[in-house]
Amino acid sequence: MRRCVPQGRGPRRLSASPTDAPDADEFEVSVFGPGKGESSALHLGDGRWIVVDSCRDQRSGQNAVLRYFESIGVDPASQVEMVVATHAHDDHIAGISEIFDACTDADFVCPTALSREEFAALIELDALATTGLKKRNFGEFRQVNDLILSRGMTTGMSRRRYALEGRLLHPRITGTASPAVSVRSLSPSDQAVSLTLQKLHKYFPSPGSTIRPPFVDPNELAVALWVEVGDKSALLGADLLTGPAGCGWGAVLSTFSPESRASFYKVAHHGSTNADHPEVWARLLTDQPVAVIAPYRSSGLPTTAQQAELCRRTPSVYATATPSIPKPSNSVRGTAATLNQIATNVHDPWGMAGQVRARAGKASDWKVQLFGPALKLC
Amino acid sequence: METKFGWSTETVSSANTGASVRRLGVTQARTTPTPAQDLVGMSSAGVTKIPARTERPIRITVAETTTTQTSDIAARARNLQSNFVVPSPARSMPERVTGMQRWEGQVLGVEVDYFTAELVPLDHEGPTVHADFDRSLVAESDRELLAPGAPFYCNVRTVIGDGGQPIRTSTLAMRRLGIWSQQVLDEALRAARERAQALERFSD
Repeated sequence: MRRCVPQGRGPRRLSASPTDAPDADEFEVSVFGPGKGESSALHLGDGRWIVVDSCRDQRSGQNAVLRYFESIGVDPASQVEMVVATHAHDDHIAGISEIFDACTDADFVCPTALSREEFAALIELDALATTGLKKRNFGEFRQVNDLILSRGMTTGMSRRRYALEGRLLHPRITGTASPAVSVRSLSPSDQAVSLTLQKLHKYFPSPGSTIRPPFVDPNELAVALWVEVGDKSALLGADLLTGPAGCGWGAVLSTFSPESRASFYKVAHHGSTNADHPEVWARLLTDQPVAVIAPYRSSGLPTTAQQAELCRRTPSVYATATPSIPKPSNSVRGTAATLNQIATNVHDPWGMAGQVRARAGKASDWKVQLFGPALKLC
Repeated sequence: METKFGWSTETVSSANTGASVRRLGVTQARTTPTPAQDLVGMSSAGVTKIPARTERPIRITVAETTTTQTSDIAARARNLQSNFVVPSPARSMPERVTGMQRWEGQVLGVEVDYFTAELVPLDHEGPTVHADFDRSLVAESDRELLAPGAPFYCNVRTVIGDGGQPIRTSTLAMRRLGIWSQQVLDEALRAARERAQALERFSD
């Protein structure tokens, strides 16, 4: 492992990222965070990429993945095959419409529950309730849907695909010089979809109730992904929780049994205990996988104890940044001073986004590189 | 604990300026406080404030004090009142607003005593931040609105008060969006159905 940006030299910016693109037969998983959201970019070989969720660097205002693509010479319009929204939380999809807009040839993948009328109704309610407001909870999905419709009208092609338990989203291709590739969604389960639709239905307001922007999206519908490139596999845990019964990791483990285990794990739900299923480590992951966390600072995830637990399981745990709230910038301090009569604990929970980049060639181990505030936890 | 008063040696008399003589005022908000009130107020705040309306300010330093010493302070202040006077300005200045900053907030989570919100600047350049607010800042009649997703506005206004002292006031106002009507909800459902069907054509 080599660190590309020296420590202790003042602000370490993502612009210090290298400009070297992966080799054609290299499998890459880059994890970005914690900007407004977190994101992963995966190189599947031959210059083909998929993007999972979105991360907007709050300091620079730039989309971390698009900026990375620009720095390594990737054309998102022609080289990105799939954009995945694992669920509708703000910390995963802020800026995803910008990514999909740039990735004109890509399919958009989302949990099947988000394709249903119940969710479309929430998007409509959100638009009505937030008229005149800056903040819209489901504005990203509305824009993505607009893009799908306009591209569909223009090309006649389907651009939206649904993630379900055990669905092959990207077929394995064998017999060519390039490594075989498969991308499979491991969740949500039927039970999770049913539970989610019940919650969405229950959330729909009744006449006479107070207008309030909708603020709902259960984590149980999160899309976990299993990605195989050549002889390597990666598990991306999204925000999938351990349960409840019939949902989460419990459901995944009851239906999915891979031929080989994953040597890379994007740790589920920011390392939270409620997403840590011991059987995932025992049955889906190799003995000492590379584990990467994108912290969620608003909730202090992962805690020190959770970090220690992860380090007990594997000696290769990386984080895109420290889980603690970053030192406030001058502008945040200025805002805190202005608001000091009325507000406390004024902070920017996102800070600068870091990048953990893991690359593996054919029959070689993962090489991990850290950029910006990313660090090795153990 | 000993209370110490440090006074400047300079005394301003009305004869120098020709202005009317007024008592010393040291706080932002009060216009004609009694010296005793001022001294107690200063000691509890633990800071020294120089009134802008004194043309040649007298410095007062209060080190430390306790509540039990309040009567002593008041008595000493009454004794000092006749010796230390400052002139008021020739004419009072009208209050004027010098700064106003607004944020749009969205409630992220509600606890027993406070709520957490995301604040987006509305009328100025600045970072989007998270912050905690005391629930008591929300009007009693609006507390039912406090729930994740609820929007509100936060204003901070700076005015130059009588005497030139900047005064800052902050307000938090929940935004009332009204109530859902059957007609609007029906229309939202119809639009959602149409949109879901349209998207279905381009989905697999």
